[in-house]
Amino acid sequence: MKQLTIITEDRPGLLTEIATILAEAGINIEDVDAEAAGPTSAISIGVDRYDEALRILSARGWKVFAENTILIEVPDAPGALARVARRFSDAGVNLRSVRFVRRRKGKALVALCTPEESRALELVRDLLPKRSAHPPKGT
Amino acid sequence: MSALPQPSPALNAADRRRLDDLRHRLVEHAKRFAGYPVNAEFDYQELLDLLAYPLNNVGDPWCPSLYRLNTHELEREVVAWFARLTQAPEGDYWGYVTSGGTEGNLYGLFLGRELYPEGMVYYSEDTHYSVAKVLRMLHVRNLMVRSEPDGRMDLQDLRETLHLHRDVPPILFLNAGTTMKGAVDDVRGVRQLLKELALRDYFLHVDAALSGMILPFVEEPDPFDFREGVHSLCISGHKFIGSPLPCGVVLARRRVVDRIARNVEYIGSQDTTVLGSRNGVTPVFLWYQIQRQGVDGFRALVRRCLDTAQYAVDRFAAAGQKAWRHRNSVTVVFPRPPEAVVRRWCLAVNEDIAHLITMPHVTPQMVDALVADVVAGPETPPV
Repeated sequence: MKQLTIITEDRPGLLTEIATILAEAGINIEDVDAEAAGPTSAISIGVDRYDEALRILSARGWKVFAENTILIEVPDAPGALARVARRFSDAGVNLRSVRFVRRRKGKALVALCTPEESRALELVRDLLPKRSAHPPKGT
Repeated sequence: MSALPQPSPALNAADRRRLDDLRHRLVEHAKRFAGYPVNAEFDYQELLDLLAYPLNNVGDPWCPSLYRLNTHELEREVVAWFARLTQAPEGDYWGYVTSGGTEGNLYGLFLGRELYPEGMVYYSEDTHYSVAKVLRMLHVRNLMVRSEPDGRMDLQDLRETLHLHRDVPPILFLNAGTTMKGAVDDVRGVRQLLKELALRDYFLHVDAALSGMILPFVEEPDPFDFREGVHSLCISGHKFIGSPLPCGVVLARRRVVDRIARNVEYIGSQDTTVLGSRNGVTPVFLWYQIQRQGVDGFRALVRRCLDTAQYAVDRFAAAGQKAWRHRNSVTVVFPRPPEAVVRRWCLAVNEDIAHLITMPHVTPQMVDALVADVVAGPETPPV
């Protein structure tokens, strides 16, 4: 099973909508983990047909992240991303890219891409989106 | 010589109908093609006979090639024209006609990475989406910098970022005309930051896809070119100049290009370009338009487009819609209209905004019709 993460506005019925779209395509959802980052929802789902799910959900206009992406939440302030990147440099962990997914209401949702996932998660554990005691599975 | 010595078999009726359907669809959509930075006003009929030849500009346009069916001579003239336009130092520039902005940006970032393999690329939030793809292809470390609400790179964020990573050579990717808002990053401000932080090893690339053909023709241009110390820049050809085939130009300082030059014996040419086989037609299109318009012609065209852009801002305001644009930009930003309007006018949208780009084919009458549809909202007639 592979996981992908959908980033969108938090609103009622969102999970049902995603489940319906995938069910219509015959794709099974095997795991769901929803988190909130300010007004934004980060929904991680495990599916049996990963590539097709990625294509279908992206075609709906959602931002869909592949499983090697770590999502974190930081204050939307100058230097915030640079400070995250600095943690990686200081720890000698390879960080390929750091980019904003969304900036809203003083918070920034940020996507990190690294080949050293488990070490990276340790470095940003305090920045993982709230309402979750653990990182999204597969990220 | 004819490239087709034998007549090809004719299309059957069904296939002809498919082409007719395609023509009809293009004619209909072209009437309301207002949301993309592409000029639909051009006429290359005089050049159509050249399509009978397998033109290919493989290799470096400045080096002799064994593949003689090329248009290197005209390509060099095109590059030289853009070099003058962007104040490239005489004798210290190199360039070629690309397949468009993405290849130009790929080339610029490639140069930066070759110069500084341990470097970090910084680019703003408003940068074109294709740059993230290029960065992944080049496998270069990268960090996004915040944008101001008007689309320009946030220099306060950049300052913090450069300060925190001063041990890493910065490769700066700047915009002269962002995709959605037409913003021009403050190149002088960026260089000032580099100076203040005593960062001597850096690379500056400017994506001037659209505004690179606007700023040289206005009275008070935003600084963006080689005079400002940039190492490479690219400008699209199919955007402001107009071409049925996507194209562009990339220019770089000669001394940095020399680092990646490789001899390729097979074609008897230096292989300094990203692609092997390259389009030999688009350099002729660009050369043709440059000869016909000249600097004065383009200046008048830019003035006309800027006037139309301001006309659009005023018309939106008169209709109670908050629209705005940067002083030297033909990109008019306004609140995202209903989907029916977006589809009908081929508008580019991003979250809560949309834009109209007043390219040469966009007339005040089209602007009036678009504003009327925006006001009508969901009542807009279907496409």
